[in-house]
Amino acid sequence: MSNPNVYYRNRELYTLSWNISNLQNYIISISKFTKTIALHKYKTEINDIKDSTIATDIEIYTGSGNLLHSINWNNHVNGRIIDLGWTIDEKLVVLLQNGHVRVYYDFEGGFNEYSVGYDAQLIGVKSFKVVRNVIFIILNDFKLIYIDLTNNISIHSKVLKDIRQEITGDSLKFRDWDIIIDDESFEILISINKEIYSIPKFGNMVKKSIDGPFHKISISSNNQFVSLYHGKLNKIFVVTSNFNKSLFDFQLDSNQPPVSQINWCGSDAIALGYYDTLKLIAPGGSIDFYLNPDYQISNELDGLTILNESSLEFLSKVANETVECFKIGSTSKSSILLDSVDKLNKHSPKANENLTIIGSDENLNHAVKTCISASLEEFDSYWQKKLLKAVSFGKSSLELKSEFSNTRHFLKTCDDLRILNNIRSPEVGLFLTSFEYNHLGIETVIKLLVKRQQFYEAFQISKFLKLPIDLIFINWACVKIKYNPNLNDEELSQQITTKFQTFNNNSYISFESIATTAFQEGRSNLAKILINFESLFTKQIPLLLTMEEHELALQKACDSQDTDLLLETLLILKQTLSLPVFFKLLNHFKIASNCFEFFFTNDEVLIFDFLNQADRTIDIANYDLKKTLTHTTQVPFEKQIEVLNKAINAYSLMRKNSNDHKQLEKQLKLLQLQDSYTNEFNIEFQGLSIVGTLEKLILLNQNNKINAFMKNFKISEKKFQYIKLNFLIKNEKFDELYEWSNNQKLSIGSEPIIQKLISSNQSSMALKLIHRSNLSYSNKMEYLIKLKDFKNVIEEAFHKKDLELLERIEMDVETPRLKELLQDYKSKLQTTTRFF
Amino acid sequence: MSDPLDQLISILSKQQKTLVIEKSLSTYINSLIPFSNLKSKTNILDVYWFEKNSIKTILESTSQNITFLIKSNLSNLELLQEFIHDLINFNPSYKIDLILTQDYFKSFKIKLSQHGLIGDLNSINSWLIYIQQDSTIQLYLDELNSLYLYKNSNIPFKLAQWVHNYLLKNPEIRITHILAKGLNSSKFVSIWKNLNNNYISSLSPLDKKQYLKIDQGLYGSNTNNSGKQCDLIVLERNLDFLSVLLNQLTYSGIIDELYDIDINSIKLDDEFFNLNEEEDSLYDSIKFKNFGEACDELNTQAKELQSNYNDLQSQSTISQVKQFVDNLPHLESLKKQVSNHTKLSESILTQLETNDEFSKFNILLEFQQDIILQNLTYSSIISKILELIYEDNYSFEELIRLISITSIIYNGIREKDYIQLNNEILEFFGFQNFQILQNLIKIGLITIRGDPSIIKNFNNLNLKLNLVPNDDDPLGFAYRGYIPLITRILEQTISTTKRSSWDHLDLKSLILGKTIDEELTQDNIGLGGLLQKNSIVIIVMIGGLTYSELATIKKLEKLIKEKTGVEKKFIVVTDSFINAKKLINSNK
Repeated sequence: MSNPNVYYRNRELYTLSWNISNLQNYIISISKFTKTIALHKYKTEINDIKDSTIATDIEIYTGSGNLLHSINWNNHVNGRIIDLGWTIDEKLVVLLQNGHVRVYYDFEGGFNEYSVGYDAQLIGVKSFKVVRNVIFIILNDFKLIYIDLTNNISIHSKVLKDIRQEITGDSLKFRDWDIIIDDESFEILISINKEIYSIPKFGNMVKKSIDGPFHKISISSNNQFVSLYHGKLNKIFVVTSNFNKSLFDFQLDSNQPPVSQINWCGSDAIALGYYDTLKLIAPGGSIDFYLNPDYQISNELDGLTILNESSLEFLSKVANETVECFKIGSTSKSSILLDSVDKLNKHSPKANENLTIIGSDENLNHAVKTCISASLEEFDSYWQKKLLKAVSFGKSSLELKSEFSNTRHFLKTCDDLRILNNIRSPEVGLFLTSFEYNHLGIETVIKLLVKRQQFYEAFQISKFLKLPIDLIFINWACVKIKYNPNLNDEELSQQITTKFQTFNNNSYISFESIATTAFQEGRSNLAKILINFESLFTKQIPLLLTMEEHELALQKACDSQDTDLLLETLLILKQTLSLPVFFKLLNHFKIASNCFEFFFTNDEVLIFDFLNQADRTIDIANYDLKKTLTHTTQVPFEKQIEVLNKAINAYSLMRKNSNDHKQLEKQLKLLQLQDSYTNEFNIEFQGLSIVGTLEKLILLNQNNKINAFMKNFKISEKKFQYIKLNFLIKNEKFDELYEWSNNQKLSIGSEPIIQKLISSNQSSMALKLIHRSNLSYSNKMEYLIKLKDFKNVIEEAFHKKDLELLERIEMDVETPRLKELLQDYKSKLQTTTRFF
Repeated sequence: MSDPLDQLISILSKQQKTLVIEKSLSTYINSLIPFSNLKSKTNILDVYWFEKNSIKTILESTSQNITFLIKSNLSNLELLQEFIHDLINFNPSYKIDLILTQDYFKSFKIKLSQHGLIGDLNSINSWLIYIQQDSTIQLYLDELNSLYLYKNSNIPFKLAQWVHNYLLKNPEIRITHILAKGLNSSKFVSIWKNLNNNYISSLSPLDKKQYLKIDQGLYGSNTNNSGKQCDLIVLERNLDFLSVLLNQLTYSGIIDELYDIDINSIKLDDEFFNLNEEEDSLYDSIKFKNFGEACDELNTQAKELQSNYNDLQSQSTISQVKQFVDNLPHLESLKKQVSNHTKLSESILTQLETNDEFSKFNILLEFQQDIILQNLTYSSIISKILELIYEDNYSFEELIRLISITSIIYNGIREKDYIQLNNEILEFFGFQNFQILQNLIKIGLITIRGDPSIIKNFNNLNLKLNLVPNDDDPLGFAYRGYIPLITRILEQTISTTKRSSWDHLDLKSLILGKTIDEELTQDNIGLGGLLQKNSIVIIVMIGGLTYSELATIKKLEKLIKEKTGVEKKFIVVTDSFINAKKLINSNK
């Protein structure tokens, strides 16, 4: 390429010795990172005609061409396969003509199936893509549909846009599309007619370009750039992904046939696939690679995977560090350091001389770092070793005399390379570049190994890196269960738990998925044994529920004391079980039934049914009472009476002659009386208390009724007097009150009346009453003070020789005449006191 | 466990959105952050209440991103369903996010899926809410009836979860001793232990190694022992109903009884009144004082302010004036607070008519004191209560308070008297109180003599704990003549020279319910008072705390330091603040 410092290299990862030939007859999908290959043969080789009667399997191979799994496929039973795709976490997505997608999450045939919906099977699929963990589908009627597999709430298909409704005009010519996606959102770029539209996950469709028609759209790995292929002009345009800036364009040779595949090589260059050449275009220029015809390319974060019949290759930009080390004639420090390894091997004393040429420690340190990085870029252990030797040589001389230390980095690199070389071996066939390895992280790598049932490899790596082995154990146990249908439950659980005990030194490992596997394999007894090893209630209960171990599930939910979890369990049980069964279950668990009653207290019918089946007569009565009596004014008399009668029956059965029983009967009597009064006086008595009823009768002056009522409810004369007093005060009938207090011999005495009058600001009447009544001196004084009748207070206090009281009120007396009087009395009393 | 505010901001994210919020959460959110700040921080375009009539206006707004922030009460489901249906029908490309409080998150999610709503939501997040003021934490749970009436373990569970999470966040703190009294307290302990065990066992080997390393380092052996102490003391409401029933006399306690404090705000004359408007405010300095003292403090502050402003006239040099001006914002803020709280305290005084010896407040206070001091005979108390009923001047709740206090002090009400009281209350206040009265007995607020009561014999308990002190007591400012039981228990438990213990208290024979007194680490003889220095005491109160109780706990914390010079840090954790009205109404 014209840019002197940019180089690309194509390296063979594996030679494939498999039985696959003529890739063009296959639907092929290569998974990102792991380079796992899924193939489905859809054409016969002889007549090249699509034939729906062919039933071939979906075969999944490692990048090294080892068969990982073969999914037995029968078009008639399973539906015809339209396309294949991989999610970013290596799940195989199979799009079917019958309007379903299957997602195979392991290499043992386990899958979930989702419906595309929207009549996809009738309308037909125009295009299909799997990006990260989202499945995108365009139907022939231009409905854009997606299924987000990461949705932890629920996975189902959703219409993103009905494009036909957005674009006016009769004919839509769909050309190509691609998707910009990150963890949170995505944006679809779609080329239709001469335009490119952007469709975000949320929001409106926007027109981005009208300079088309663009026949191919491709987005770079880092989501920053878009390459557009203009078929008519035979030209490539590269723009930023927001279409704000055009970066460069490239005119293709008009003699060349049209491009068959376009893909980014990482985010650095665009690869154009022709019959037997691959043209790489970058800002500086282009370069052609000659390949075996009949190949397929797939974009990676840091390069491009190329698959042909006989090999898997990886095309990538040569890293700057590698260039520094290996460029012919390079005088870079790292290249000199690398050279000293050769010299060392020849025992040449010039090795040390090289160090002098490199010069300062900073330079040497840089050289060491460069070589470390370069070693990670190499796939061949020969070059890895050579570079690491150079590092070793350089760093040992560094450490002797300076503060630069690369030991940790060096050791990490050695470890990483060791692991990488291991998993890259053709037997394992998991070819990750160092960049990919770091991007995925070791835990994902172990997951990938476990998925391939490379337990030994995974275990060794875990041991090597001192990592927990939970995942390996769990998967091992699951596989053990799956492939040992002949071992009986005891033997199998014995083997698993023994292994568990040897591994875990008492730490927790989740048994949930192991037990789930057992259950899915139809071994519910084994599942029950295994679930006991799961100590987390939140994991135990869902499984027990799926196993229809309802009682056990409810027991565990109660044990957890977590009300939220208990309620969740109850909600699920309530939905799955018939009500009688559900109630019967509840009866066994007091905690659960309490919880149920608390949360469903407003669901009248349900609670009533529940209490009824449990024969809790008192509670039913109380429940009914609560419902009717808290809103007495809204419930008709007849209904109230009915409820009360029922309650009385219930109480007389269970708590005969209790106070509550009597109170109920009393209330019934009251209701009946109120009913008759209401009819008689045409005034509403409903909802009143006994006292309230009496007050109303007083208001109506119904003396006979009052007497009968008092007799009926055993209301004492004293209590009646209080009630009457309260009534007169409330209704401000003060004259009547005064008369009443005069004429009657009152057993309540006059004090309550005085107090009430005072608090109702009826001072003069209160005073009259005070003077008339026979009150204790101190109380009388307090009342008088309160009423500010200081004249009488002063007189009486003097009379009683109560000097203390006189002193107390001194400040409150305002009128000069009274002040004088008070002083006078005070001094008189003081003198008298002195005398005695 | 992240701070509720941080968590909320991170869940809400920066994306532009319309927020639909449940009204009852607004006070809480306002107490975390001024709403305008939240709005700009999380890019909220506009806000609507989670109410039926908001739907139409939301449809008219431009934003396509709608976030619901609601409580996870199942009763919210129906309205949410309506919202979602209307939104989706109007425009299927609405992006709907749901944030639920953590309380019943799991159940709410199941309900959502049973109603087929889950597919319409872009995300569902849970939000853990709690309120931390100083070192007092309340979970803002409002379901006291679940605890005693329905015997649900939700409150103990949520409290245990909080403590568990708190300890995870502070890995250097290990509980060394658990003391718990009461049925729910013992539930709390078993839940907490369970959470802890599950957590440790689910740690990855590396993390577990780390965890055990800290354990070893702190309490490895007798020779290698930090001696750090952290007591976990768990008590519950039904041990001491008196602190709720007796009139509270602290500033915050009185305000709560009259106006129901919601976090830091009340409604005064139908207007929203914020008790604690500024950081480091006047309210903080007086809320735990006796009401009288608080008023005195207000007066002093007012006078000081006046003299500060007066000083201005005498200041002549530029630097003096400048200094004054610099200080002005502080003075202005103080002035506003003093005037606000003066207004509040005056309105309290008018309402209570404290000057009037015959005011309801004074009569009840006097009567309550007569009961707890047993100045009156049992039968004269009963006839006086009956008279008060007849007078028709006292509310249902005020009378129930008196009956319950009598029941506790005199170890139950005689059946004959109870029947009469029950009868009179129903006659005067109506039959709809039939069940409340039943429930009061059910939860032990009132006991019939002969039936087991929670406090077995009040006089014995008083003898041991001096709840009704004869002399002046430094803790006696919050109630008239009564020191809250839990404060007394704490006072008797926490020692600055040796490990906490209940050995000498004999709570087992004094109060009903399970007693737990368990050391979780080895005892260390010889470290003496050293090991108590700066130690933390986590106090969990199940079933709510009154403001006045909290005031005495805070006072105790201070007293310990003043008396012994040893600082003990109290962390008080409770589900909610409670008062008599709430307690009695929870039995409806």
